[in-house]
Amino acid sequence: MATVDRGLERGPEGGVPVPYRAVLAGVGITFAALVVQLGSRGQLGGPAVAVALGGLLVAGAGLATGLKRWREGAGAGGLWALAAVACGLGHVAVGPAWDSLALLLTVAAWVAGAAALLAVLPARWRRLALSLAIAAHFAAIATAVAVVPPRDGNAPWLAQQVWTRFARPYLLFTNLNNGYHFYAPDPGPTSLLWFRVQYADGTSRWVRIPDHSQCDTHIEARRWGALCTFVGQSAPADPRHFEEVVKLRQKRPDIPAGPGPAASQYRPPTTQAQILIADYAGYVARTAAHPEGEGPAVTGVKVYRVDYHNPPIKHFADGHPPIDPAQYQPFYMGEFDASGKIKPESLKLTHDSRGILGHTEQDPLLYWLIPIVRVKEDGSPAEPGEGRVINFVRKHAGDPDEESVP
Amino acid sequence: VKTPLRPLLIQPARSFAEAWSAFWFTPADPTVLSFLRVCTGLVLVYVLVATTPLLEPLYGPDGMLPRETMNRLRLDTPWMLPNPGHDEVEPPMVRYRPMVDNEEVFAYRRAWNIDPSVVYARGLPQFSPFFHLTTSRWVLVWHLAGIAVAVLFLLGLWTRVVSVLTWAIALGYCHRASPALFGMDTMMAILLFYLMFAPCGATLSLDRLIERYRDGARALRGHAAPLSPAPGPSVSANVVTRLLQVHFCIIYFASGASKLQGAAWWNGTAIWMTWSNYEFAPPKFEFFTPALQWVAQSRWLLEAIMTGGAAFTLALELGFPFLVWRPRWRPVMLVGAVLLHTGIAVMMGLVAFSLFMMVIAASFIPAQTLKRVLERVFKGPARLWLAYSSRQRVGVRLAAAVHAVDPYGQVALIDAGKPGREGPVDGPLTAPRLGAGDEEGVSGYPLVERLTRSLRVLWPVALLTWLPGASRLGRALAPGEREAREKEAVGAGR
Repeated sequence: MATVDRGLERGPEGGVPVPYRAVLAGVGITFAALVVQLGSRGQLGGPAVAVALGGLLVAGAGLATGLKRWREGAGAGGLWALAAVACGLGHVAVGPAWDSLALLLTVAAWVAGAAALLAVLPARWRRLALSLAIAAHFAAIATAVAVVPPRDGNAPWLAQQVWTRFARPYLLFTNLNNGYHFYAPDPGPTSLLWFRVQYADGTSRWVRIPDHSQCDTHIEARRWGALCTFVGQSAPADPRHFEEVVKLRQKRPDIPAGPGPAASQYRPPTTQAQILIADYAGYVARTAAHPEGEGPAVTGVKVYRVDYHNPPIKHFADGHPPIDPAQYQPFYMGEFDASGKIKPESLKLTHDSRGILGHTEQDPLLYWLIPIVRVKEDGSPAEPGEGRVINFVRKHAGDPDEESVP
Repeated sequence: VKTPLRPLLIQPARSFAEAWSAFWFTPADPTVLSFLRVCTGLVLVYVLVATTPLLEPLYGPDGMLPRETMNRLRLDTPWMLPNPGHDEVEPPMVRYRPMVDNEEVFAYRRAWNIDPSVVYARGLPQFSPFFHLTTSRWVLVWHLAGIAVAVLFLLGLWTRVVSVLTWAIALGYCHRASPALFGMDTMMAILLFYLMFAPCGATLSLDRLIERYRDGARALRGHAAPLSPAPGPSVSANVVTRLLQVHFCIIYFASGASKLQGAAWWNGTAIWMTWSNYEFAPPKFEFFTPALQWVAQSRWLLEAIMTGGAAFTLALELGFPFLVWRPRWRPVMLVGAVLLHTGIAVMMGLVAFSLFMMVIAASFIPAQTLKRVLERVFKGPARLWLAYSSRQRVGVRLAAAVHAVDPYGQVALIDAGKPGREGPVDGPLTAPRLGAGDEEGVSGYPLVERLTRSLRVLWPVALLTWLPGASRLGRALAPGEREAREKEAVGAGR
């Protein structure tokens, strides 16, 4: 094991040891970035960020070199302290326009400061501090596991408190915020999105996400799939509001309700999901080419969030095609304009002057299941693979074809 | 002082402290972590390259996740604390901030349909340059820089600094496109987070190569045999290895325990649900659907496969965290984990996720076992000698370079400039020569070709020597002694 130098010894070259020179140079460069940032009053934000990052790299290189010579003691502690200063300067130097990097550098400064303290602590105290940090780290991980609610109940109250107050910021920052409930309690349906793009000349086209035929790698397929899963989060419906939407739903008897209780057929998305669905719609409107190339402008995009449930085993045993249209469960998310704004016919929220929600007007089918059903000749429900498919999504969207799915 | 509590409290506490200290703080060999760095780097480079077609929709300023929206979510997303009381129908409203009436508050109410005074925390602790880059061109530039850093991490150059940069860059992708994340991203974050604190460039890296070169050059200049002792064990290597191991056990236990809540894992249909989900992962092989249909026709066969698969998954996920610490069970558990994740990769298409999981599981491989395997793979049968003169700078450099790339001592270094030396080379040495046994040896480009093709560590470099024209170019730039003599003879004949 390498010899540990406890003191701040001078290098064989004399004067300030080389690693210290490098870290000091890094501090100096970062300070220069700060001067550029403050001097230009944010006008040279980009160059200041580049200079600050360069300074931090130099400081980091000096720190890495120095830690080969001093693993602990005043030598290492001094280097870490200077690195903390560099990060602190960097925090200011990147300016408010790059505030997310400022957050990273704030954390880096605290970590470097803690490392400086650890370096000068006696070995026994250092181990105690590290042990406490390890215990706190895994306690946070355990909280992320426990905070996922079971199917028919709430997550532990204590876990929720610890999660929101302490663990969440740490685990979100480090991207370790996973509950590790993979395919549990049961593997669920797959989330998809269908967009029906309407053009000014009356033509239309469907866009689906994920479109596996357009994905070159599984990374692409999973990323698109994750975008759909994210907006699949539903907000619990307010019971008073739910009675109103059930009454409203009855105004569209041409689109029948699906099987099952009404509560399971109404899935209003969370606020975050609503924001993102609007952006998805805008992106699709901008990028979905007209079926005949250059063409008229997009006048509207109808969005359906879809759950796909696997067909039962019998469906495969009987040799039917593996994908069954009746296994798709689409929920109407509204119609958006070309800029990604939900049309007032779909949802109109009225707020008072203080921003408090007053009145809501919405499409009778908004957030409701639009069924795709399989029926026998006599109209009674048919088993997968039997009878014919009535695709009410097509009907709702205005397509003549009622059988196939997008 | 003897008290009745001593045997009850103090002794067990002391035993626990000693066991804790031995578990976390016993110095360990950094080879395993270096191996994990290489594996992580390989998968990471693949993931970043595969992300390139998604730059515009996911990271572009006007993509599917527009910069403006993602910044709004980053800065304003409300976080609420759970109800402070017990089962009240109308819980008391807790205000974490004073009620204020101004335009910002009104806008927040309109956007989130909630009063900001009752919000416990606002925003997400995220960072990424992609939040701030305003043009697609800069997004591409940053992406290419990210790939370059990941390659440096893979190769192990300036690893201490680069490992921190790699973590920050990789998380920049995760934070900016958080709605597009899936399990793979967490596994990647786990590996990069822990490896950042580890001496993961101590070996199997360009850093180590450079260190060996410097050691070699220093020794050879002093006519001494070059010695580069293997990197010693360190406490930080052990801490990081343990962090990975414990985290992996938590992942498996949480995953297994949460499955016990589900009927599908009890009755075995969960495996069917993952295999037959064509919208999640369309099958890549034509025979897959007929095979599934054939299996579905026999209830006994189907149930045997599905129930067996579910039982295997549950047994492994719940058993691994306890049995993997037992030396006798460790190989069984690791083979089980590899089988499980190979199955997930093939049947569900989650290739990168599975690879990252296997890499974390590899933290359980003992360093000695890994070293033996690496030696078996990279130490070939070649036994060579390199004759050089320590009086020539080029000779010392070449010998130091050979020492650097020859961790298993397959090339004997013979200093022809050392008085009283013995060896296969007679007469004056005009250029370094490489050979085996009693051969005359080769110099110049043929030396490079022979060396790279003989040492397995250099086989990736040797591929370049097979490129069309490489040999001709190499011989033109650095002709061997034989070629030079032949050239001279041709010149004299004229």
